[in-house]
Amino acid sequence: MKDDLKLFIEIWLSEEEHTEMDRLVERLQNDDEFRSAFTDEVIMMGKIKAVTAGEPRFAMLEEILNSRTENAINFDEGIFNSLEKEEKQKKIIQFAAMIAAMLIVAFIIFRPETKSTSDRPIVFAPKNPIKDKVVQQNLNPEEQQNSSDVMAIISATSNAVWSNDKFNYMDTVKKEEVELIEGSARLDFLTGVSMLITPGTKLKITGSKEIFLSKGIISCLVNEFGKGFTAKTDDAVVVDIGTSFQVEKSPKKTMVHVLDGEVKVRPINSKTFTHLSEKHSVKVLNGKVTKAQKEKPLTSTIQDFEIKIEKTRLQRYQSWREQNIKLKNDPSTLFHLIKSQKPIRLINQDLHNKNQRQVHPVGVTNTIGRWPQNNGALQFSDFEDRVMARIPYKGHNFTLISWINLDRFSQNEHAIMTFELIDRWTQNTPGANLRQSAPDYKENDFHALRWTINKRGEISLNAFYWGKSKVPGTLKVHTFKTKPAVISPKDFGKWLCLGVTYDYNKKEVIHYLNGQPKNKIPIDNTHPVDMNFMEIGNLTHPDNDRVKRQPFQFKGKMDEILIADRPYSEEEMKQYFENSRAK
Amino acid sequence: MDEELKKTIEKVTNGDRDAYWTIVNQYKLMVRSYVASILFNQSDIDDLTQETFITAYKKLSEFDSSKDFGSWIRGIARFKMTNYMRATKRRSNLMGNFKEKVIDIISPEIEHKLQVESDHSIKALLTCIAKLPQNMRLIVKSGLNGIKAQNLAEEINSTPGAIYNLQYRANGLLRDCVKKEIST
Repeated sequence: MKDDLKLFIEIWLSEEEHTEMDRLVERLQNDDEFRSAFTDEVIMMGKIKAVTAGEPRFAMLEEILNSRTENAINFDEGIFNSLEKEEKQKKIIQFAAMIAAMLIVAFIIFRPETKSTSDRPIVFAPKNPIKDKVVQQNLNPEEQQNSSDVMAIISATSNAVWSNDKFNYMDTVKKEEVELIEGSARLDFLTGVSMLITPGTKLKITGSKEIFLSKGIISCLVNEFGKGFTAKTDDAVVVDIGTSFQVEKSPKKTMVHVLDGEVKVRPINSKTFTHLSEKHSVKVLNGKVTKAQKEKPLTSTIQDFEIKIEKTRLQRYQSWREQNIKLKNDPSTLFHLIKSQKPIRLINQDLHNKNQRQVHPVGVTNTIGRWPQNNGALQFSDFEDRVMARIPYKGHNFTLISWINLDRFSQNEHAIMTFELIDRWTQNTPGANLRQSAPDYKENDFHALRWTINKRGEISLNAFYWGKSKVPGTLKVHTFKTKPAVISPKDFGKWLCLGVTYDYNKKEVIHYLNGQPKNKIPIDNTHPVDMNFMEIGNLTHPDNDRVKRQPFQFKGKMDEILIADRPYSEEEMKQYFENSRAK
Repeated sequence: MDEELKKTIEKVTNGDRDAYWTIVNQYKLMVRSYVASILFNQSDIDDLTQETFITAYKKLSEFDSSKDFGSWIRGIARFKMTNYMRATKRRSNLMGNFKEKVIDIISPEIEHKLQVESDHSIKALLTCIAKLPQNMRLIVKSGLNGIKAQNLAEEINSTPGAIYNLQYRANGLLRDCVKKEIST
């Protein structure tokens, strides 16, 4: 039984198909002792996972227990009910199938006589190219549904604070309510409308070309595709006829101003429209449309907003440049790569504190960075792309920061930065392997430090140390991982600021995303790290035929990398992010 | 059902939301280990654990206090896992069908064994893991699935088969150790 049990566990954990699967399932079904033994193994592995995994954070549960639930949709009730329905439907389908089978049998037995084959006309059914085509479905059903639900994108913001913090720059908006508490934002509808939302505005997107404005002021620019766009309020219906217009909803009335072109307006309970042309304003109050006292724009236009965004961007760029000078003069800065638009091999000032002989790019190409007009970025595309550099640093404390723009999750792990010792690099000779170098190291000597993102969007800092010397090749790993995952596919293509601080004095590792702490994980390791050789965007494997090469390459861009020999405080991390964000 | 738990449930159903955290903290490890016995991905385990507690909170008023709360909440977890497996299983996938069959067969057994489990066994487990030999501890803490076994094999210059073997031996050692810890 032991052999079967071990094999079953191996299949269960590896999830690899095996010729013995059916036999083992049958044994599981019929052999009580085997079933009990396997269940014990499964329960034990479940318990181990539960007690050794980090503390989970139940963010959704926290929200439910701290907020009202009257309006929450009861998903679970729905699931229970739909499963009940499904059971009933299954029975109906089974019954229908039985009846159909009986009818088919009856038809076969009692079918009417048919003409001879020579009299029957021959019909060639043309091949339907659409039906016969195999469509590659790259989206899972949830993604397919989600992509068709999108009504608009938040394409620009200026100090925006939303009532629901799920909304951020470049987020999609479906048929749902949005409320902007502070700042301004621009929504671009997929149907060809751009809308500026001002602070204090609350609206609901009710259709691809329709919104309901509860309060606040909006400014709309409607192009050819968006003609007929409608803005409704409690008092009025405003229909675009190819324009730029503004609507203000205050407690008792609705104001409409046309910047360009024409709209038609009617009170909510009337069927009669009033046409309104350029530079005119009306007020809708108590079911009547009347000319406004002052006919002027209700708020700034989208063009004004664009100019404001551009000014803000330039201010931010200036802050970033000032920060770069400070970092250059900060003695704790070990490495600071600020990618310019020129190729990395040609310019020294990209590489603060290093020169070209200490930094070796492999395969990476130049691309556009966070500041399109002003800086570049490193593009990591191919399997071997990386930047290699020597730091070196040995100590107990450090900070790692990188601005990244991830294309996709292409394999299990993606290296942001990896730090190895010199002999890892000299192992790229046939026959070399870790075991050969093991006798040179004592227990707890540093082996490697790796900062990676896995395909689930979890960021991990792993510190490897040599194990007991009598067991050559054994490594001890200290893993500091974000929980839950912090990066999702909706972050692909966006510039993200990732950071991690390693504070030996406080015994904690903190992961950061965009200046915000995401996870604090305690350190139980007393040994220093030894950052000698660094690789950005990849990990060099020893050339060893016995070990399967696991890909680690990063796929995307990086335009700034910072390493310090001390842990930045939360305030410093926040400040760094605020001074270096482009949007 | 113990009186303390009964009172807590009453508080929650009377509107004291904070009191629900007492229940969560008491059963979190159990639910998590139950879900983790079937699923491998830690994020999925934590998501489903959370969903179980959310549903339990919403349906708490329907709970029959004469029944075992642990069984009831495991029932919710089981329901969530079934839906999850259905949603994520690809059609005609041999491994998917295999897993579903196995879960169907062993679920009653799991429920029966967990019913008689004591709280102390999970706490004893932490102590026992710390007592494991270094290489076993590494394997056990890594939370094995096929991908991790491959990575780990590379790290310690071993093979995935050897690692699964070590996991099996570690499970046996831990079971014996936990029995001893509970009895002392």
